[in-house]
Amino acid sequence: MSDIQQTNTDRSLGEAQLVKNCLAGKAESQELLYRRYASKMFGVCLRYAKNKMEAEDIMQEGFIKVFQNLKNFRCDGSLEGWVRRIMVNTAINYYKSNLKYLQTLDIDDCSNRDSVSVEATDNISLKTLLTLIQKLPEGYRMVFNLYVIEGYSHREIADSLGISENTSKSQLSRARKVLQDKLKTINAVCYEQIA
Amino acid sequence: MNRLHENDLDRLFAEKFDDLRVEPPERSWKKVAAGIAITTTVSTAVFSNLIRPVVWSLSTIATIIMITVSNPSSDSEHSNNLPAAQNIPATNISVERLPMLTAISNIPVPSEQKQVDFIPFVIPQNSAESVETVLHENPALNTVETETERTPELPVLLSMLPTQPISAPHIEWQPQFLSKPNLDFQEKNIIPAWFDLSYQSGPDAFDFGTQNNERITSLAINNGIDISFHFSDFYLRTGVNALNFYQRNRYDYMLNEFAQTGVYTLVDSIWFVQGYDTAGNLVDIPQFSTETYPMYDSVAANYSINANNHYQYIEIPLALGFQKDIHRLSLYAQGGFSYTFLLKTSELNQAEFSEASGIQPLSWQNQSLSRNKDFWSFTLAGGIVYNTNSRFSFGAESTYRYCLSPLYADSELSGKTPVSYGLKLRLIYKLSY
Repeated sequence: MSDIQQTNTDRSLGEAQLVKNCLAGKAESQELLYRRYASKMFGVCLRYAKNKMEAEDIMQEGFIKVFQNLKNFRCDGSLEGWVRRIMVNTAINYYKSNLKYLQTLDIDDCSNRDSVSVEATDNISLKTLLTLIQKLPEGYRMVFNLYVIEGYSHREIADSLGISENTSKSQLSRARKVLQDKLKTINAVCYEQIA
Repeated sequence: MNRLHENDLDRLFAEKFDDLRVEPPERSWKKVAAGIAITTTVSTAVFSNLIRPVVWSLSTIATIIMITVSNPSSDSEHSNNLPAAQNIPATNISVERLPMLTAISNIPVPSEQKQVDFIPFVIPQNSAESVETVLHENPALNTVETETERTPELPVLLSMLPTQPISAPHIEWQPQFLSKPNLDFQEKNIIPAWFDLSYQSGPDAFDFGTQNNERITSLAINNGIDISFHFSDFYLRTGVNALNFYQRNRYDYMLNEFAQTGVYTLVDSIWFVQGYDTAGNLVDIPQFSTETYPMYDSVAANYSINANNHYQYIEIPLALGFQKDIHRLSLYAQGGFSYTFLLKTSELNQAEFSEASGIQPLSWQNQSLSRNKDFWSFTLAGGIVYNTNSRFSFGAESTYRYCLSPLYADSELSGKTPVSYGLKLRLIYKLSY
């Protein structure tokens, strides 16, 4: 019973008060903030990482930044949106800092080895789509995530990743092609009939 | 030909991932909590605001200067900073009295002194006879004379008194024993040069600036011994300092592990429904029921691990400082250069990692940046010292260091010279000159 009451109290705790408590150094509030957004942010990080371990690293680093910079958060906006931006920026920094160690894959290397048959688009599991994204080459994955999911423009992507707009467009195009080929291979996509 | 339209593809992924929620492992929160604690005590407190430590250092120096300038009574006479100042009043005798010191020193001291009661007397001016009268009226003085026969200078001097009148000195120097000699003159005093030895210890926070919008920092601990040569209000300081860097480095390694590499789909059942072909003939159209299964294989997986590495530097400073003494306190500010070289590096290697974790990586790569063997830096410092007595003092010192050459040999940080902000506690032992 007390747990339920506690949970309700936690949920009802407003963002402003939560931020205030975190800034006051209350450990329980910091944990509450973490738990409130951890699952959502882990989902974001999984898209940018090539595996679960890397996603964990990005998320942990991102949350540390969140707590470090919480004093800069203005309560007139969405805390979740602010935390998400930090996660995305952390993922971008992670990608850039590891750029020289990353192996570049050819598109051919990314061809799907799975043997699949018919499956409708709606039946494609989230896990499968996530696997497809994670198996994209790093650059393709970053551009595809930023453009398609986050809604960045090519100009913004170019500034964030330190590449040209044309490179961003090119990588997005290649990422789409890889994904299309993979989806086509597993035969689980909606096809547009071309006459 | 079937082709997935770009917009459909984008919409497919955007809709699926818009509200993707995956519960992270429990260990993640523990790592975040630990990270918050570390950064709160080190990074946030020291580096979060670049301005704060600069203001702190400058305000310390400004306070020292203001107190020094605004306190005219701060002279060396009342200082406890000079070595054995209270015990050696001669060190504070003014220039005008130096000839008197010479005159006193010329009078030989009896080799065998006796404890005698001193009887004060006054020699009247221009009266040699009075000297004899005084000596006659004070037999104790004659006793002294007879007991110091081995020192003929004093009797000879006295014997000359009746025949050679003493010219009256305008300076009435009466060699009376005073409990506290009145040497309180405002003239320029003679302060001897002297040395001190000091041990110092404290943290130094290095700031390498930002890389990829991320601030790179390191914590170092100082332990050093200095020797200072003091002359007038200035001093020269040098010594040796062990600078121990602690930096959190990342290591990437690769493992072969059995993991899911994809999915495969099996047809569970097949049935037929009747329909018509394009020619209008009745045909049986096959229908499939499928199920998807995960597919596993041995794949190369990349992992990372963080480890606290230790780098030991030896630093040789040379600084010129200005020091002012106010009663028991000494305030000082100094500037100079230091040469620092890398003595020892302790990083995690693959063998140590394998032994500790039981994991045998296929590859092992240290992501930390290689360091230069040495670097030069410019240093500013200011501090305050409390003189407990004429020998021992202790105090605190704030330091600012601007590196003139980079610490890292390669990478994007190679062009960046770090700065550091430090706080040291000092224990000082003064050597008399």
